[in-house]
Amino acid sequence: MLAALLLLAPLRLPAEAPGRGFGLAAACFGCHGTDGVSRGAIPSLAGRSERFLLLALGEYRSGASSGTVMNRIARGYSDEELALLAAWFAGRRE
Amino acid sequence: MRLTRRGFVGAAALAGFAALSRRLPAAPPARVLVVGGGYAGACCAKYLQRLDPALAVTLLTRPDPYYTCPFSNLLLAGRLGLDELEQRHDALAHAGIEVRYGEAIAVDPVAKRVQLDDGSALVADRLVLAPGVEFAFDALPGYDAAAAAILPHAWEAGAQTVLLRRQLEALPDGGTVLISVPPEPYRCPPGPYERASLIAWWLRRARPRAKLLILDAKDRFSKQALFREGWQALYGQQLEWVPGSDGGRIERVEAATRTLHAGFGFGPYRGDVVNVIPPQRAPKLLREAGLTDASGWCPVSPLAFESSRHPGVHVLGDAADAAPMPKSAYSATSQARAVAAAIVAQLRGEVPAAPVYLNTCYSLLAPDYGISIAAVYRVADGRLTAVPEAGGTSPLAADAAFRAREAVFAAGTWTSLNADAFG
Repeated sequence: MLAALLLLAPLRLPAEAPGRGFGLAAACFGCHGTDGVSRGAIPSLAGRSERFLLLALGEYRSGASSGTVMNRIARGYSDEELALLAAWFAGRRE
Repeated sequence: MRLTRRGFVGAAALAGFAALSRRLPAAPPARVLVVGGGYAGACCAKYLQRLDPALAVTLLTRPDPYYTCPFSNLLLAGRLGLDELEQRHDALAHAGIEVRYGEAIAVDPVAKRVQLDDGSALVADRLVLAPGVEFAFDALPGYDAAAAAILPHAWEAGAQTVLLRRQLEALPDGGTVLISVPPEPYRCPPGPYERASLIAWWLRRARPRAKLLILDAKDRFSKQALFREGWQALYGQQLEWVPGSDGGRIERVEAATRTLHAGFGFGPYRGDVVNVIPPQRAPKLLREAGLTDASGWCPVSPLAFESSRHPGVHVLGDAADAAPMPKSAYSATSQARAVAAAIVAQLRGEVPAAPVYLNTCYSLLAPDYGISIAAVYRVADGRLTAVPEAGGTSPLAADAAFRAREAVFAAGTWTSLNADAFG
């Protein structure tokens, strides 16, 4: 019976719905490129280690590191969101 | 395996079902039609297709090439060629988006039907409308499409940008350049001031006795303190900004004599090169579809930029009333990615994740002198709101290295935006 149901189901299963991680990360693509892969002067984020990304974002937010625009942007995100962002970009291929 | 009679019948029935399910198509994929091939439309089509490859995504755009407004001010300074602003939609077509080249002439927001100028029509389950702005050629007396052929607006990159550059090249030393800036809202709030800066940069080198006057309808503008600090240092008396209350607000244009008339006895101003940036509004296509309100722009919900007038119709980019987000290419792509994710979620009957939008706008005061403004936007109490703790402009009194770094980042951001929307 299970086999029959599987056969009747649409052949293509829907891809995973875009979640919170994508929603947060997508805002960063404007500078850092699609999926965090930059082809220009802005650093790529894809494939950097989660620990590095979280540290960098935290330091931009606190002001411990001074960038140009990143200090102003990082202040708009919570701890939990910075963790989601770091995990999302760390999970992409460079 | 030993087949019993009953098992054999079952297996045969299964095979029959399998054959049937192969012949009968599964539920047809949802159709999303995106109108407008600029940053907002191209980017939204790209992410709709990426997030759900089973969607039937059609992008209706004007014939290629598309020229980017971002960085077109560098062409006016003689630093870029038109070909460097060129974008095409081939990569999106290769990615599986049906790209149609043509012009939409009518939208039925209930039937989700778009009429094209070649007599054909496109129908979809969802519409995403991103047609940009329309120049209000009836709002500033004397400035219509014919006047724009003499006094270019160059607020849509391409032939107009080249025309303005040619006029600048013909400017005599000691001549005057006028730039007229409209009231807000208009596309790219800091754009007129970047333009003035880069033209002044060129004048300083090529026409050192020429003067540039910005005639502004407003009394303040985006990144004002940073622009004025930079202008003072870079261009001195060669560039002058005239605020609206001090004679900057233009009330009438006389194209034949290249004259701008201001009220209250100010002016008139005569220029050798006159750049009129006209007042703007959402295009007629959207007004006639009943998608605009009294402001002239399209009211939308901040969650998925869905029209407040017609469900299932999303308006994004410059045509939407997305205040406090500025009308910028950066805002447009931020909206486009979030709207694509929201549409994909909605079509699956899911609730979209709460959106976070971002804007970062760089302006060049010289090719190696950049400044920026940024903001993070969220939905609070049903309204799009800039997060108060975040955002803001580059610092005043920064050193040359900081300004140079932001000029490099300006170019990097432009590269990323282009690759993200059109690549």
